[in-house]
Amino acid sequence: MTRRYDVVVIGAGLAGRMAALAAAEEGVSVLLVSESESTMRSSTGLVDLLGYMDGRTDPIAEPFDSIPELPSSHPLHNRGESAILEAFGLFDEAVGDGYRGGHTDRNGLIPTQLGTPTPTARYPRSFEAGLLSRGEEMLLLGIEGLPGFDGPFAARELASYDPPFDVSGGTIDPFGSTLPEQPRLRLARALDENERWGAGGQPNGAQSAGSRTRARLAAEIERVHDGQNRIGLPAVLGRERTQEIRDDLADAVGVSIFEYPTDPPSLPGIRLADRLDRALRNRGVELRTGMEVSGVSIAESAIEHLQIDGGTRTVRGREFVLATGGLIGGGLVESDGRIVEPLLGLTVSHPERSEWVREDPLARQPFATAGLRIDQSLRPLDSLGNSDGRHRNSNPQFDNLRACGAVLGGYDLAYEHSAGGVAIATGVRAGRLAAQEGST
Amino acid sequence: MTRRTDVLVVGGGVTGVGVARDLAMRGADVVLVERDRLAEGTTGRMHGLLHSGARYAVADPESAEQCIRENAILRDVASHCVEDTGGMFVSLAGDDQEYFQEKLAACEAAGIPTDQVTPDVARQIEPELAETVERAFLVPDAAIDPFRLVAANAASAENHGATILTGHDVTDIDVSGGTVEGVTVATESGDTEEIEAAHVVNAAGPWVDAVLDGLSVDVPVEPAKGAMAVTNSRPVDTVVNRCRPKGEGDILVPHETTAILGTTDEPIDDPDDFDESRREIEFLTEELAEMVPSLTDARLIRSYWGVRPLYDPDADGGDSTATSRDFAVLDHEARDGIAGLTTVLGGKLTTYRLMAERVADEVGDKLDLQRGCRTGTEPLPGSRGEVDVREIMDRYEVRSPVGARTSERLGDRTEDVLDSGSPNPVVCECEAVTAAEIRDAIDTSGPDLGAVRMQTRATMGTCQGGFCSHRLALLLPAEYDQETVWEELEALLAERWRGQRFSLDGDHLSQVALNRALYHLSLNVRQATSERVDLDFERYDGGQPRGELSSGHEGGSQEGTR
Repeated sequence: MTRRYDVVVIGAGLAGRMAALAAAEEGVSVLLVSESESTMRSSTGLVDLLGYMDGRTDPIAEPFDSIPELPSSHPLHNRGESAILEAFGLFDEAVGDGYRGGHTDRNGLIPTQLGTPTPTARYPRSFEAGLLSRGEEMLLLGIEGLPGFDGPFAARELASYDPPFDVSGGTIDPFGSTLPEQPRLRLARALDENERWGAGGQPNGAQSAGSRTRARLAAEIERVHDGQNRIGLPAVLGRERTQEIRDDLADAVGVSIFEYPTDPPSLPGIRLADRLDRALRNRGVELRTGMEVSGVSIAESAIEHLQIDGGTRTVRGREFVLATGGLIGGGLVESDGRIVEPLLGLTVSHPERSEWVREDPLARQPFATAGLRIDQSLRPLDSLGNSDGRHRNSNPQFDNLRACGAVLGGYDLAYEHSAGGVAIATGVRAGRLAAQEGST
Repeated sequence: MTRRTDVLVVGGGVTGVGVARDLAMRGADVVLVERDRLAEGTTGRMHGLLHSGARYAVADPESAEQCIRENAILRDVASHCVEDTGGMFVSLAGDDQEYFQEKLAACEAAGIPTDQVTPDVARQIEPELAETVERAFLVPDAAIDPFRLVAANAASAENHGATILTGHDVTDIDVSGGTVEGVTVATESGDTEEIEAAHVVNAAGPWVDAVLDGLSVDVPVEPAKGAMAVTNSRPVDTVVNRCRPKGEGDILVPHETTAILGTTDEPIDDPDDFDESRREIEFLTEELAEMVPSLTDARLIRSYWGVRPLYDPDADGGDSTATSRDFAVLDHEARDGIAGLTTVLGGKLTTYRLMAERVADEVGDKLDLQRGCRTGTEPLPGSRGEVDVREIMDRYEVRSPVGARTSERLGDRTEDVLDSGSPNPVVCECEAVTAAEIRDAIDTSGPDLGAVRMQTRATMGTCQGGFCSHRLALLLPAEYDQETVWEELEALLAERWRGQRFSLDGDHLSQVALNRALYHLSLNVRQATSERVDLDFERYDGGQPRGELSSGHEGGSQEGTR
């Protein structure tokens, strides 16, 4: 007989990891299974709560003032300020000194790689000196050979918002004319290890007597630095030793060095996943990646166990948390004109296909609100109920299943900049409720 | 200052640039005006097939003969635009077998080489073919890139002294005393310009009658729409045709990394305003899956519609100088008493060069040009000789398959384009397009990212620009202001978005969701493109209250457990 876990969480994105952490905090046994590495690794590393509302074009400064205005079908609608704050507190504790933003309820503004201000509730510590509400003069640097990073463009863009500081842009050229494969990840590794660079302008480990990567980068920064108090670089400053690298660069140049977020591959996304993995292990959560859940066995209205790898193995649990993600993560998929939940066949609420998209690609998109409808204790409902969200005739599909994160419907995480808030608030609550049920 | 020219060509499709090139090579002074960008209309929305002529062999032998002749010419003079995929006609169980024999005989009569193969051999060549294939024969069909072909013709025309003006919309053809004196054009910036011309060639495709609006002439053009869909992979490497008389949903064309499903044929009233429906795309998938069953599960990344400028000779009273049932060169002097005006309509991309030659012959007679046509033998820029891909790749450290793809697109221009001296990263990973190629396209097309896309194929692969649209925009040089860059990026995103609205199936809906997350969450493009509001920076988090930030770094920490 295999071991029976108190709580089994399916899916290791931000929601699933927070659910597992919250459950583990209650002192129960927790297993976190995931099919593949999480899409968190492609995310910016920023953790938002609520960045934009309909009808206004400026980013939200105080998200807790706006959350009550969200429609009743929104997963954050009924969460309550203190519950959300408490859930974020658990996140802050898990990521420790690597993250900032927990000292205030306000959103911060961070420059993107295009120079646009973007709102966020939490940000990596290495981003802090780049906050746009600080007054120090800023230099934004791009890296020659990395497409999509143009320091002068980003600086001009940022200046057009009239921030409370002067901003200029520049380009550094650490590679010379020869680019390694995957230059972003290669540069991060070379910085972590502080590798020596060969004569051909390539990092090559300790084999040559060339200059060290950090010194080489610092020299390039000094070449374009012109008195600014803080200098922003794409977030490529290592995967593991980011603070040490920043310290070395700041020592050499004599001013603050910060990172700004990047499109994938995103080092801050990878670092966040690394940090949460360490927190999970510290709390005794068992992590298993590469486990494809192929089905479930059900007794009466409860899930008994998960079938793994085509049914050759099983995972038994008392309570289950579904955190398989939305359309991006594969927790929801399109099939014959409908959006379905492929693992358990749960009922998914979504608009008619002819209504899925609007003409403007940057508008709120109806298809993006597809997802599960849940009851007050986050149990997926078996029918869609009334459009007012009160679900009069709906019942939980399984007694021991809760859902959290992007598999939930009723919100557009991209348009609202609300992915992190929903993942953390619903993840923590799902994990906690599951642990309380699972231990009785 | 008023511009003056011998010949003014209206329309920047393949026919228009072909006419401009041909006449410029004969020594005429040529200006071409296009209301939008080159290849934006019918040409850029074709199915990518270089016909062998087999498709027309039974119903229209004259077109078939033209196709096979032009097919051979273009393989030579436009070699860098053509992929020699070969083509195959297949007959399925239940299809009319007499028609199959009739098609074979008609191909032979038209001079189209055929090679009948057994169903087993057909499936060895194309393993995805259905078990129901009963008969098959091979023909010299090929795949052709219409964007590259137009760009090469335009470049050659310019090299011979022609002027190409995009974003110039003809509002009037100016006629005085029964003779054309020139045209009035509206530019994108809202200005009006008059261009004097001894002769005007109307090569506006489905818009030929709109160009003639205001003159009391009637041209027999019947616009017909055709739907196409694009898969993210190549289920076949050969052009596969269904051998049957009915002409819809019967062709699958491999194209670069994708395949194009075609097509439909339905008359419409207005080439700028017609219905596009999901049903048409579903029809294509269903019909073509009879030949290639795996198409049922193929990932569609895009759909698009083209409008054919069909010529109807029966509606034309026989008083044109029509050279084919398929296309017509209308001399408005003989026909309508307006001297100095020629309209060309009908035809197909495969025969564009021949159409241009016929037009140039007629215009050349009127203008007394001494030189004859040379487009049948003079290679287009990019197609002059073999390219040593491996040598160039080594020299510029471009990795395979990127280098191979680059040289396929650029032909003999590969070396010029790559020789920039700075690092040359891949910008569009799906289509393996490097920064040097994008910069080269911007050099020739200006800041129009739509034209850059067409020229390079960047944004045209599986992710449909999700990962690279902003990279393209950032390659616009600093001389273009922020507003231009954002307008271009917004236009590119909107164009890509529109093409995907009927491709929201399976994995591609996931891709669309991911692309949105990137543009909102990683790049926050919306903040730049929405109406600018003053941001009150003081209202947002300014960081943890602590000592002076500018004093240096923040001291050691435990970040990064080793």
